[in-house]
Amino acid sequence: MSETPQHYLEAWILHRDPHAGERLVESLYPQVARIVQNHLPRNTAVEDLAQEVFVQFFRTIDRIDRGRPLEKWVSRLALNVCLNALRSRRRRPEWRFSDLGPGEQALVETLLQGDDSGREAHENVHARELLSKLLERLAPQDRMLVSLLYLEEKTPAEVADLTGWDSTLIKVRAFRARAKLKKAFSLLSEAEKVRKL
Amino acid sequence: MGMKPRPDPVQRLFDLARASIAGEKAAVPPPGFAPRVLRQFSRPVASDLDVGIWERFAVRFLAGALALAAVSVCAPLFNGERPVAPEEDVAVEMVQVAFLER
Repeated sequence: MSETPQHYLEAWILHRDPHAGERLVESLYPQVARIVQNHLPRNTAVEDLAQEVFVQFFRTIDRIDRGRPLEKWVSRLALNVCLNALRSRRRRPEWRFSDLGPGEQALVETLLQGDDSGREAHENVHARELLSKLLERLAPQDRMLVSLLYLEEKTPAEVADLTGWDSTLIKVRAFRARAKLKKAFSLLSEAEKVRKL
Repeated sequence: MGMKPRPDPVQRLFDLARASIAGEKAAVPPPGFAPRVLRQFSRPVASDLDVGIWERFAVRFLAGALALAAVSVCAPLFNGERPVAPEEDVAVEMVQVAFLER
């Protein structure tokens, strides 16, 4: 019998088999880590938050709806932990162009020119850092919503299923959040234009 | 005439960030991570009785009883009264009598 996460889950629930529990954690860890990295700033201790997710997971394991895919339950738990972590973070002051690193500043200039075809793949890490800074301008829930829709490319229906949020509200909040991001970027780019004068 | 529209910078930023994520390897748990998580949950299969709720009730009841007892003992201090032990009453009276008889 192939050993899937579902198999390990059954073994843990029925027998509290430690081996099954460890395999369960190891098989779900990449998914949890990816969610934490996508939704929290890059300097976040992924391991700490992942541990918190798994703590919640094992505490609520007996309530899991075994008719639904396990990955969806885990995703929802991870998103809730990330949302709580975002809410507990102190709001940072607005980023200015001079606060950005050299790679990020170069990226802003490239994006303003509208031609980034000459960029190397390894420079994309600056895109993540710059995006993370722009996302800090949003409320935690909007930040998570925008990341789910535009970074993970989920549909509004999938986001509604993952989070339990109303699908109409998702679209409205996404539209407003996107407008805020554009405004935040335009403020950065205005500072860049002034710098060049 | 025929100018290519400039791509939305924010959209382009998301595209580049997504490409960065796609290039990353899947994370693996650090050594000892799984056992560490599980050590908090090594317990037998739960019985029909929801022990958690009763334990919480018992703790809260005891905490309330202790708080009440503490207030009862400390209240005279806050009222300006010094709690006097019965033996002390007798000792004070004996000293007073001894003094008067001198």
